[in-house]
Amino acid sequence: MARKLLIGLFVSFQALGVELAQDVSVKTDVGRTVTDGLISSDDVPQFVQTYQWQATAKFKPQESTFFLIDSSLLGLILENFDGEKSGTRADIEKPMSDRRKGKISLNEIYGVYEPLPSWSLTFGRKRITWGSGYFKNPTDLINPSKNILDPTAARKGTFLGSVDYRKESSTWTILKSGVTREKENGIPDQIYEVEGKTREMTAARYWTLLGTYDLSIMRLDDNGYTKPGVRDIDTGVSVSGLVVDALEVHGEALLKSAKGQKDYILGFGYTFSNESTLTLEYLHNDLGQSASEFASLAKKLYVGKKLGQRPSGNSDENLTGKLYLKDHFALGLQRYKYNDDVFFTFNTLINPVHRAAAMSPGVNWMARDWLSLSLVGFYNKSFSGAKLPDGSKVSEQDLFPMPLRTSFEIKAYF
Amino acid sequence: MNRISFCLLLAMNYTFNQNAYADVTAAELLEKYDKIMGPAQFESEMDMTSNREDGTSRTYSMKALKSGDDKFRIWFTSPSAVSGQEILRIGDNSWLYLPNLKRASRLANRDSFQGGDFNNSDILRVNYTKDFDGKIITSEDPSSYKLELKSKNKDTSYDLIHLWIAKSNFMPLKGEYFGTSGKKLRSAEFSDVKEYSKSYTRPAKVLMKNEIVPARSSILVVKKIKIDITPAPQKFLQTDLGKG
Repeated sequence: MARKLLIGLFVSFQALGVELAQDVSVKTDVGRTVTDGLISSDDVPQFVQTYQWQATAKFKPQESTFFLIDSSLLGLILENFDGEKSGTRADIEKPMSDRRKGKISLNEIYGVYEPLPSWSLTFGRKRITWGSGYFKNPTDLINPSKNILDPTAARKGTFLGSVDYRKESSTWTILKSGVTREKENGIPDQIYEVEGKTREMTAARYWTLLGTYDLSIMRLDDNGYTKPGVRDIDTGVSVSGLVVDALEVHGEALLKSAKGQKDYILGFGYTFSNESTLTLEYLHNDLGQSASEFASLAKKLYVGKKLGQRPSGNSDENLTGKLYLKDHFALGLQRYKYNDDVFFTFNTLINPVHRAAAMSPGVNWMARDWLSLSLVGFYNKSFSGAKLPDGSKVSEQDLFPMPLRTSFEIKAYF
Repeated sequence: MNRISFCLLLAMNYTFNQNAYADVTAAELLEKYDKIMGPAQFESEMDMTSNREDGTSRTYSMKALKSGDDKFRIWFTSPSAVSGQEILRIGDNSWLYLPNLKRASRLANRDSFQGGDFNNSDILRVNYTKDFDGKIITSEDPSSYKLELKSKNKDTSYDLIHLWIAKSNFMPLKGEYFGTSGKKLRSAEFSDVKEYSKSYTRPAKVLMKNEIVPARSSILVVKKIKIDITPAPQKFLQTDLGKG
């Protein structure tokens, strides 16, 4: 019955001219936490299984109008919390619902209308990427991506309205968006409020193509990005271009006008004859810690641990959000071909101050044109670090509550 | 008498061959090839099937839009794993748009097209007049012209091409594609000549054989094509990628 209904729905969609792409996936993450680290791992699950059904429907009723819906149905099983073994997990008494989660995620739902060929209006929830950085996009204030070691991770969209004015080799964009609050279950429909005011973003971009280089200049005005209620108008610049056929260079920078702080990346990508791509980026963020600031913070964490007060690695974002250094290198090898269907990837975030790296090797097998299997690992290695009172050394990477993790995913497309 | 007849025949044959070479120039043949295989503007629906060494094959369906010599856009519609991917070419710039990332990354011309045996430039950059110097050379087949094309710039995928064109209707018949080392990389067969409209006829099928790995080949089939269109310039902007 359910199958007939699904087939019926599919046929109905096709009859209406709706393009539908779906996939189902099962992903299993198994990790090992550091039980005696400076940051508590009590509420970090070492086993996570994610079941996901994702569907994207596109509909173009006429040449000037386009609609897209991208939604997911998620099921999560969280097990083997570190604190359960040691008996220190604060919320250990929580019921089973804490470990079995269901969620509907409306990643994107938007419409595009072109009243004139040069003008394009977009309304709805949409993901936006304006910068040219591969591992990190400093100018992504609209819907930031979080995981540097997984550049393929999809970000969440944000509610927005935008107007594009397009000329032959340039585009002007004005955008207004609200920063969306994700609901635990159901469709996210709330906008953050800061001191009674809606947290919102007004942004403008000019994009142009100059020979083999494309350039974006941005102004981003967020009333709640750095300090609640304070307007902070940032300027963004992004450029990318081909130096020779297989060598691409890029740079992206954000200058925060209120404090003069800079967040920028510089990098290149080289495509080899086997079509694998090597990408290297230098990442700098003024908001990060210097080596001495990090050492001071690590000592505070050490004292806290001695006093039995460790911040949580999973939930204390006020602290863990600051535990990064100013300078990093990110290096990645993408789509290193073993054969037509098997590809290797390797991404690493290098911390030159502590001679440390967070590494993520992976292999993807496209077993059929409708089935893919992937195995991704995550591992930290440090050769140096800030010196603690007991003589041991701790690097930025050593603070991750889960330094070793493996993720296996099976995905079927239909 | 016999000697005179023989000389006359020789002279006639020489004159005939000269006429065959003289009635059309290499530049004209290249122009005709470009008009047939890469009209100034078109929108089309195509399938590309890639046959692999292990005996398996993958078929990709796509819609394509071309405007002028330098602008080309492709939307992949199936299989589901690549549905939503787009390719845009503007002059020497090419991007691949990945829908899950919402971003476009730059493509090199020499990359293979979706892992098949066509290069990106075979599909996205059909402009032999601009990219190659041509001359007519002696064809083994008297019913066809044979062109030798030498690359004019570094952006082409091949250094040398041998192209056979039918004398009767100027349809391409076959091609051989060589790298800078002189090694034959690919060979193509053009077949199934089809009239898509009163003013437009072309081979519906192109079989591209991989001469390095002989078990590999790719077939491009043009299912529909319209050339009497005026594409909007805004469809060829990087900022339009992902907007249907």
